[in-house]
Amino acid sequence: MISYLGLGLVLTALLVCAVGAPVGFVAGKTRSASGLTWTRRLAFTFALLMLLANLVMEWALVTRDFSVSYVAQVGSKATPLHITIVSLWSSLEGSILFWGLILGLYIAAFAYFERRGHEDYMAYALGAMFAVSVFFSFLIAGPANPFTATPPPIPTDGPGPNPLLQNHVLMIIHPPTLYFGYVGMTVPFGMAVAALLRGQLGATWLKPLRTWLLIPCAFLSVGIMLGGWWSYEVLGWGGYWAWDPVENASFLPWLTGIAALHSAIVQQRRGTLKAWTVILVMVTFLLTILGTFLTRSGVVNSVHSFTQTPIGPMFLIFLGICLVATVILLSLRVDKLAPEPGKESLFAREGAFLFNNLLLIALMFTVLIGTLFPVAAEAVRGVKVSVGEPYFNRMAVPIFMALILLMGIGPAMPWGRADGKAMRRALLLPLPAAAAGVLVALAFGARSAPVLLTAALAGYTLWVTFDQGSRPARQRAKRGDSMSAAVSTTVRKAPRVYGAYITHFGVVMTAVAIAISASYQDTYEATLKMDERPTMEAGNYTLTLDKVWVDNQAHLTAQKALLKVEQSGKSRGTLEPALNQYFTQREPLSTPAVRTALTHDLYLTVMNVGRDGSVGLRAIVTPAVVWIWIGVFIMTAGTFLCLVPPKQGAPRPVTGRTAEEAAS
Amino acid sequence: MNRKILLAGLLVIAPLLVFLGIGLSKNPMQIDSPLIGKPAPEFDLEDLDGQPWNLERLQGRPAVINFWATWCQPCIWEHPILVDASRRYRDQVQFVGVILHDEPDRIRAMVAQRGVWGPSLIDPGSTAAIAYGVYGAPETYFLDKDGIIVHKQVGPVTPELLDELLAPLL
Amino acid sequence: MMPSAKKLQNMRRLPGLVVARLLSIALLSMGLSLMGAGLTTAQSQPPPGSGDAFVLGLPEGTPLSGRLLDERTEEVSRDIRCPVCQGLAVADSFSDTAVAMKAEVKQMLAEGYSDEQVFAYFEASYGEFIRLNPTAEGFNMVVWIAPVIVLLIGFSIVALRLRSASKAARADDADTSEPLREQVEEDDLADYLDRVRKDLKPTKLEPGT
Repeated sequence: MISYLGLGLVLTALLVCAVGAPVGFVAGKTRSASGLTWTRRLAFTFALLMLLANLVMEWALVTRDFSVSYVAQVGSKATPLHITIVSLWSSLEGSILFWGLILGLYIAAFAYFERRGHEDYMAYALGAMFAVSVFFSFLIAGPANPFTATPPPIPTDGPGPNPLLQNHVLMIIHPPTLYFGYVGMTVPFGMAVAALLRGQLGATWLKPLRTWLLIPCAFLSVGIMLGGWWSYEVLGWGGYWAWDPVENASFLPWLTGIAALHSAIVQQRRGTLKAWTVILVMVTFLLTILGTFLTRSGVVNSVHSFTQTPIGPMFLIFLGICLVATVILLSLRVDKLAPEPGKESLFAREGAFLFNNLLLIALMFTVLIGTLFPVAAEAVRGVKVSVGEPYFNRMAVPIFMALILLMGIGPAMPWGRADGKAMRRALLLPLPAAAAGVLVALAFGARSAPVLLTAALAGYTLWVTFDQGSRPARQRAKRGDSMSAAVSTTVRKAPRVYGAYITHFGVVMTAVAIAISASYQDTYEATLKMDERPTMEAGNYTLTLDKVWVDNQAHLTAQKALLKVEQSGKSRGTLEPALNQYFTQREPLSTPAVRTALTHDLYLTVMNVGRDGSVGLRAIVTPAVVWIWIGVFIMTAGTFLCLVPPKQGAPRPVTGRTAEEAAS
Repeated sequence: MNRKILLAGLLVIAPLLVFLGIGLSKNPMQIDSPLIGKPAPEFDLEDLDGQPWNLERLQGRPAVINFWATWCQPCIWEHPILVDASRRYRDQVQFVGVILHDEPDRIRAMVAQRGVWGPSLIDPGSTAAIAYGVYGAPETYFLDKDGIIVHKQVGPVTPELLDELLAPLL
Repeated sequence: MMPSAKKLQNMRRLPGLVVARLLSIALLSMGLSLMGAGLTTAQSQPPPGSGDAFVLGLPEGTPLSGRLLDERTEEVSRDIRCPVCQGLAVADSFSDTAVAMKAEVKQMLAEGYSDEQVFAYFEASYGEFIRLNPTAEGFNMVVWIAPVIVLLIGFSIVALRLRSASKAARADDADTSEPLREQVEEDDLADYLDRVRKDLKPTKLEPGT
């Protein structure tokens, strides 16, 4: 029954977007008001149908209705309720259904929140989003239909979701966060298509474009970080980023999305770079489709690859259609997006933005070619090659560093024309801060060149960020406002500017934390045995083996070790790393136990357990790890602050550097 | 019509789609062994009874070297196939098992329960597995009379595959 | 980096552009040189010509021991793929195979084999797939060179763009004796032209808001 209900809902959803796409395009072409109304109604209907379909699937999961094939595939009576609920996205079919829900929500939210003042573009934009939805609805209704009826006999119990995905809370929130980032890129894509079809991209459309680009970018930042955190907390190798193809796939649209956000700022200031912004937005969407294809097709070796499925070729066809359609649309219409007359001129600040785009695109291209090269090499040479961490570190890290320097240079430069003396002063002034950064790093004992360079760049950029960020408030305070009133007024007047500075601050913090944690990891290994040699030293920690036991669970056998942790003689509680042999996996998986402190992490993993009860233990002491996560959270908070609408005030003065002028 | 964008776009798209299409048609798990056509790497291992075993024991016979373990489900599936084949090719082909990361006791139990198809060699430090470039279990190498590797099978063997590969080696 | 007299003059006229250009050159050269360093390391030692798995030949490096040996083992195992893992380096994995391979790396380095000899040894049995750091030869050059080419092309496009903008700005300078200070309202470009028109009329300015 449930199968038919679910299938009915997704088929109706497919019908709705198949109708919505042409209705939207025709309404856009004819500028028909009623056509637009109908397109918007279809958008809400689509979202509602997707919501219902997902609720039906959740109902089937929670009631353990094994007559639904997806439930039979991932459900089990032993699985706790919260895991059952999230197992909606634990496997291929369910995750695509969930994708459909997010797509519906985004389209409906867009149609609702941008209902005023965008009649020129709205119908085209929704039409394009519907066109994308046709593909995903088709997948849900056809090749990846989770509602298929289980062929009889209907089982009374199922295997439960992939055990690897149910052992950590991060795995519950990481996929949805990433999906909200990925799927959300459909909205700016639709908006870009609308701009091209309309042949104009004015300020009224640019503003929502930035909003709808910021939201998925923020989700992507968090999603990528949560993926790294999960990998760190669960996979047991002590790192958080392995340049795995799937990690790279999520990184690519983030880079172009960020580039588009920055080029949109130039467009807003100067009325130029319109075509470039549109191209970046479209490339961002195409990269999310490419990334999904790589993840779902098994074409690249990856931890996350789903096994080979028939949807691989379909994704490739869809990717091909999107690519060709985008290129044709661009080549036909992009010349219509001419810069606004008399505003072509570019100055220092704009130059910095152009270099920001150049570096982001070069970085994206490097990661892209590194990820796809094995596929190309196999096609050309017939040989399987690997492109791994050493390549990416060598190629991408220098570009990263240049980007951080640019984050310091850009905001220091004034908009418009300024005299050279002031500019030189602006650029030289932060140099002592760079030197201070190096001195601080040296004082902490840093000697490696990459860390010192990062410290110098961070010092420079932080100085500029704080100086520029605090300038308007300081000016206000100088005129007699209290400092807190001055700060709150300026922030409310220009949340976007402060959001940008907070984001930059978060990026610098993350970069420094990555540089430190990657350079100063200490690894200690020892074989401990209860009665003979129960103790090992790891830095200033003393670890004492207290207990070793075997824990037999439904889908795995865990060999666990309990260790007492002392730091410089003080007790720090216990840690319990485990070596898990999942019955479905070849190699055992070492689940680490992590003690996180503000300065460093102690990371314990069981390498092996001998038959005599001896435990091969690895202890990794990594400084500053927690600041990576904190940095990304700050980045995201800054990004969301950018979304806050500015308080409308009296017109600003024409001369003098205001917050708006000094930043963004 | 902006020809520059059209041209640049198509220049990027065409190879991308071609490569991805070719990639999709390949099995990502299948990695061709560079050892094919080369002499099989020599090893000095011991069987379950502590008897030394190396390739000189082949004495000009073709051989099937299978890397396996009891933790590997496909190895258990192909076990009876190998038992049967080792009987059919009794004096013509030497079947050799090399154990990948496993306890000798478990191997003994498995062999006692499901039958013997050749010596089970213990590979301490995985030296033989590394020399043969083993990515997992089961993997099977086919050697001709001169000790040259002619084929590597990733994943379980079937009786048909064994017959097809062994026929030209006899 | 002392600018020439002519450049100084330009700088007075369009200082932002010149500074941006200088900075961009600094950025680019920084990126390229760091990348180049990576490339030369990757290229430094061509694999032994024979390519034979079992004849490694004589050690080409110097025998290592002690702390240095441990460090080098760690470094070399970072560039070797753990065959039984998914995407991890031998250095990061503690599966039996990875541990055994690391032990072999250590032994070979202790005997004085070079990094490239170690890679070639594993490549002989596992294929090129085992190298996490692709060799910089033949078709593989693409993966090393293409990002640099893209960076260079992008750089020249940006540079040309800024140049033409500077020319346009110079033409502007001929028209207006006083540099025009521009002020763009935060979120409304439509409002902008009106404002500029108003601003260009001499009006009394109030400090602050």
